[in-house]
This record gives sequence, structure tokens and C-alpha cells, in this order.
Amino acid sequence: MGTINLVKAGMLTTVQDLGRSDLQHLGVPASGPMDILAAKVANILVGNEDDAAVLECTYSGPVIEFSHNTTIAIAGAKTIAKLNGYDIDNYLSIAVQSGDIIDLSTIKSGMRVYLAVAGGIKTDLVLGSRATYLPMQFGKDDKKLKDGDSLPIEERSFNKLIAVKDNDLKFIKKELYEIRIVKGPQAEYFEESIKQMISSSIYKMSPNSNRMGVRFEGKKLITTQSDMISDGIPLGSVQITRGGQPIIMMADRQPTGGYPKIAKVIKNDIPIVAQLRPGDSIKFKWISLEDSNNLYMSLSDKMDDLKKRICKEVIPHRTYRVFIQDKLFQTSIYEK
Amino acid sequence: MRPINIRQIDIDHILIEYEQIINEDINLHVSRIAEKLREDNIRGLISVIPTYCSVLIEYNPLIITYEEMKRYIKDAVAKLADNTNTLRVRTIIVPVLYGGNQGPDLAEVARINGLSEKEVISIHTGNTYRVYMIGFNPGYPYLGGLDSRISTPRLDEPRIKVKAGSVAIGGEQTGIYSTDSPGGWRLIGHTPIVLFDSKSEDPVLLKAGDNVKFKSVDEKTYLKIKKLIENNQYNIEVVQES
Repeated sequence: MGTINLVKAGMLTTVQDLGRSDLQHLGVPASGPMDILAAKVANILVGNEDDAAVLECTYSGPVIEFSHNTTIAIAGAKTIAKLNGYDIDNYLSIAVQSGDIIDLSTIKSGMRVYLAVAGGIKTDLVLGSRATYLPMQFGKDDKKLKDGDSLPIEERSFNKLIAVKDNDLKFIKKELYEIRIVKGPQAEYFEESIKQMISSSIYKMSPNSNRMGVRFEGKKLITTQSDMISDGIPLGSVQITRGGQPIIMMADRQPTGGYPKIAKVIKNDIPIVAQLRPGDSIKFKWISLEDSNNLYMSLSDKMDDLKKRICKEVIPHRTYRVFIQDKLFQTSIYEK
Repeated sequence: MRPINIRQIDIDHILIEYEQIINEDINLHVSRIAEKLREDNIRGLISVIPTYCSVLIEYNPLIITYEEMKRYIKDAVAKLADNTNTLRVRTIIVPVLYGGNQGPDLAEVARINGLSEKEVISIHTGNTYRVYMIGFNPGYPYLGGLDSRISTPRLDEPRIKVKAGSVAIGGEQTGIYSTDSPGGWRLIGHTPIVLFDSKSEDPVLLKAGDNVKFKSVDEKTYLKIKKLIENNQYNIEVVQES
């Protein structure tokens, strides 16, 4: 086993894999990455399966030293990433060598950057997952990581270096984000005028947000029927609190709850919610189930296209680094 | 008994809704449907969350379509509707040390309701409680069936930390804290039984659809059970009924 050492842990860095969705009937939160798209893309870039554990780094990322040669990728929030002081790109597989230092401390836009390492981070499985659930420590590594922590990684090299070109697979900063929604389980608790109001007003993300829920402030959405019997909460549900403000339920949400869910953010747009910063503006847009389905299928096709560019076998190669001014470039020469 | 609604919530969830009331028969169907769907090992099924009167299902739309998933659900509903009398319920006996340091609010619960502590214990242990659902915290049972003679308003200021195993009354409900957590319910006792253990293969003791009966034990028995549990030698008392 190799290790990655967190010289500086960053503001809020955790280990996340696909989480514990299958244990929600036991009251165990699903957890997993907030921006599931970025985590998946990062994993693809290093040749991992979707369920490999990655680092989720919030607002200001860590400085990490590698004990072994491996391949990494950075995806999600736009980060001024540095390898031994030289700029490296996001959304690109990068060959790192033993002793290299990666600095993710400067996140320029977006909230969460993901670091995938070939083979995945190999902390102990707890309840079938390596995902960190911050409110309750399930295992010894299941916590906010701190300076000096080291995490096991597999010694494994993945050789083909690729970049993501499709913008639909990347986080792009905007002045006003459009969040597409479909009807939620309690949509009928709200009058038509309220349903129109949610999509015609601008909501600002509240700093009072976390991995359980992202809160918004804006026009009040009042229902005359606020009493409901608790039911299950899908990821991305738009709950309306008694105060009439929307909360989008995210990775660490409780599996069940009693606030009416007017809408659900479509699967494609949950990653955008994960990347919002306090004060960012959003506008909800109602779309049909059919459109949501088509959008998701098209995104999945794009993920598959990216996966196809990965070569699973290890091909003998040499990778060379080229430094041009402050930027690092890499070139691989394959022997085939 | 059949659901009133089976509908799609976005492309990866289906919500099965029964009549929206808190009712034992409906809840029994809800928990059994959930169990059946989980047992069926349906490819692409991600999670099944039974609650009071609905079941939320998550599936991977790249593996199974809404129509296919709905067909599995309809089959399960039909099978269950014809076999109601075979539903079995187990009752888990939960030993509790009432009052004292383990139940610091027992005296207050007695005072508010004009009862003696003994009477509160006798009423609390007299009823059988139904686990309507698990949620809020890992392993936390929503219990129904509290006798209104001992219902007590929640504390004005919640405690910052209530230890796992605390048995409490909050308004019209009673419950057992499954994990250490903040809490505003009145603590009347404590059970050494572990409701949630993240290191176990089967991490949660109580399941939706179970019954719970509390049994008052003295301090000596409480400590004995606690020791047995620590050494993994305690067998939880379970009564099977049809």
C-alpha cells in the first residue's frame, strides 16, 4: 500500500465513495459526493470504477504529498491546481511521481473539487462504504480530515492520459444558474400560483448550508397544508420549510422527513447545486419527466464516450514532463 | 389493502402511497412490501425506504426502466394483498432501568401527569409499541402506541447530548435513542440494548414492522445484561406472533 499525506488538509476535506443508499431504510444517510458528476469524471480519468473513493475538498482544498507513482485527476470546482509549484489543468489525467506535491488550496469558482487517485483511496469500509458522514463518526477515518493525516492508496499506475473536452461534463461558473426541477412527492400541497412563483423568482444560496441541505432565500412559498406524514426523501428534493424557504436535500440528508417536497432537482442539475457558493443566484425551471429522462440519457452517453477513451490494460510507456513558464505539460510515449 | 398511488418521482424514484394516515394495518403492508422488494434482488434497485404509509424506491434508470420497476412493484402488491394473514410480527423485549441517573426525567413525567413513578413505569411497560418506521438517525425507531396518560411535552431546551439507549417520552410519542444525539424528549430510563452498531453485519436491531415491549429491570439485572452485551453473550428476547 502507498499513501497520500495531507500536508495541509484544507477547509473541509473528506473521503467519499458512492455511499450507503442501500441502508437508508435503517435510518443511515446515503452520503457520497455532493457533486456526483465531478467525482465520477475524476474516477474515469484515472481508470477507476464509479465506486472508488475520492477526496471531496470544500472551498479551499488540501496540499498533498504522494508516496508512490500514480495517476490522479481533478474535477469539479475550478481550481488553480499546482504540481510542485507548476500549474496543472483540471479535468485531465496527470501522472504523479513519488514525492510530488499537489496543491489544491486555491479554488477559483465553485465549492467542491474532487481528487481521484488510480485504484481509489483505500480507507476501511464501514457499513459497506468509505463515505464520510460528518455528523456521526462511523469509522476511524470517517471524519473531516486534518493536517498530517495520511490515507492508504493502491500502488497502481494507470497509463493512458486523457482530458475531458465536453463542457456538459464540467462545472462552468455562471452569473445565474438554472436549476431544472420536476414535481416532487408533495407538489399537490402547493397551489398553482406558488408553483409558478418558485420558477419565476430568483433565489440566493444561504450560507446556512451544508452536506445535508443547501438552503435558499427568496420569495416565500407558503402551503396551506404543511402537515404531512413523514416519508422518504429523494436526493435533490426541494423541501419547503415552515418559513416558506426552499432547501435542496443533498448527500447527507436524513432518509426520512416531514417537510413537504414541492419539487425534485433533476439528476443532471444536482451537481450544480453542489457547486453553489453562498450568495449565488439560481432560478428554478419546471421541466417534464420526459425531458428529465432524455437529458439524463444524453449525459450518460457522454460519460460512456469518455469511458471508451480509457484503455484498461497497462501499456508500457514513458511519460515526460515539460515545463513551459509556470505550467506543467506531460507527454506519454507508448511502446506498441 | 392496496396502494392508492404508484408514481414516478423524476427518472430514478417511484413512490408507493397508501392512504395517508397512521394505521397499523397500512404500515404492516408498507413494511412487508419493502421487505419483499428487497428480497427479490431486483437488478438496478438502489434503495427501498418504507415509512408510515408510503414506500420510496430508488433505482438506476440505466439498468431498469420505470415500467419494469413498476411491474415488480405491482406483482409484489398483488402477492401481498392475497396473503395478509400470513404476515408475522416479532416482538422485541427491551429491558429498561427506569428512573434514577438513567432516567432523570421520570419524576417530572410522573408529576406532570399526576402519577407516581411506579405508575408511569407500569403504564409504559404495559403497552406494546409498533415500529412504524426507522429514520431520523441510524436505527432510530418511530414507535406508536403510547398511553395518553403518560404523554408529556418535550423539554423547553433540548439536551446537547442524550446517550444511546435512553428511553424517552416526547409529546404523544415514546422512543429509544439509537445513537448519541441532541434531544428534547424526557428521559425516563435506559436500556443496555444496542440499537445501532456500525461495526456489525446487521447494524440495526429494530426493523419497521416489529413490535417493542419494554420490561422494567432492577439495577443488578441492568448491569448484568450490560456486561453480557459487552461480551457479545446476550440474546435479545424475541416473541414471534402470527
